[in-house]
Amino acid sequence: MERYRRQIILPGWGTEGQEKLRRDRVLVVGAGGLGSINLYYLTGAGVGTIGIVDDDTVTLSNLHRQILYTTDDLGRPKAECAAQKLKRLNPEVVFEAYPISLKNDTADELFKNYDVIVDGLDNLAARNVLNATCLRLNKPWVHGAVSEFYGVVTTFVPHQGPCWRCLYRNITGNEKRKEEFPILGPVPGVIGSIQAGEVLKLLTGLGSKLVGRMLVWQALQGRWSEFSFTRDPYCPACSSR
Amino acid sequence: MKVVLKLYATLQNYLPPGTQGTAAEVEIPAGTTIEDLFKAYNVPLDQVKIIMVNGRHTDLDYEIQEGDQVAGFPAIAGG
Repeated sequence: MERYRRQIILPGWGTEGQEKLRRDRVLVVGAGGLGSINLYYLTGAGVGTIGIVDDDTVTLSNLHRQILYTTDDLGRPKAECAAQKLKRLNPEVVFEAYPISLKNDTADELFKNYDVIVDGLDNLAARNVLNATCLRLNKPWVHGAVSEFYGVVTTFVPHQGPCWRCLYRNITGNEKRKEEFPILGPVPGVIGSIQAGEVLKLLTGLGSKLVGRMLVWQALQGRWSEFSFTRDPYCPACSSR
Repeated sequence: MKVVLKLYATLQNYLPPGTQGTAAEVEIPAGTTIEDLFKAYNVPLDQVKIIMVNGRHTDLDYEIQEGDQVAGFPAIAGG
């Protein structure tokens, strides 16, 4: 427990909280900029089992922000490479690597054994699948997204607050993935750190979550904004109407 | 009449010059719709993925009322 001593002494955490965390299972979908940061902190914190979903390989243009990988890793599959690196950070954590993309017909099977899902995705269509799956399986998830100098983060707890489609009601799920978006390296670092904090709050039951509140980081202006939203009674995903 | 225009992330560049933060109080004539307001500030409509007035979803043809807070948000998709 010495490894976790500085968080165990946090108010409300204790050895019970740490023991619970050891039994918890978190799935990180996407091991890129956001995923790297989430995976580092969740591994360090001692989440018992961490699943890593990513079908991509490490490329040179990833390295300014995807801090899990080094130049030696170019061409390696991210899910497996990440698991190997993280095992060195904390050998007590069990890693389950899935070098696959998120698909509607396999997502239920993938998600069902995890307690919390982390969004490290890079496109709207896959997030639509993630949202629908979490609604079906009643899984809380932490959304993060970044572009240019901006990042957003919020937490979705199915049926207790709004869902992702309550925000993006006009998304069809057929949106094409943008091959390359401009991004300031530290932005996913900022957003991923907050996501990891939200996951740990969900698992330990500490604090109030970012449910119905989206934080927006605007790096150029050095400003945070908060965007509040409620359940959409006409939401195409979570409304019973 | 006075309303508050809120534009976030990449849309923030379309707020009136000198705006600090994400919100600006703007003066509009009665009968202005959200589409009119966005066009007046050159906000690219195809980039606005969330439109809310006073925290509730609405559409471009909504006729803005005195004191409304009109928010536009783009889709941020990267990871």
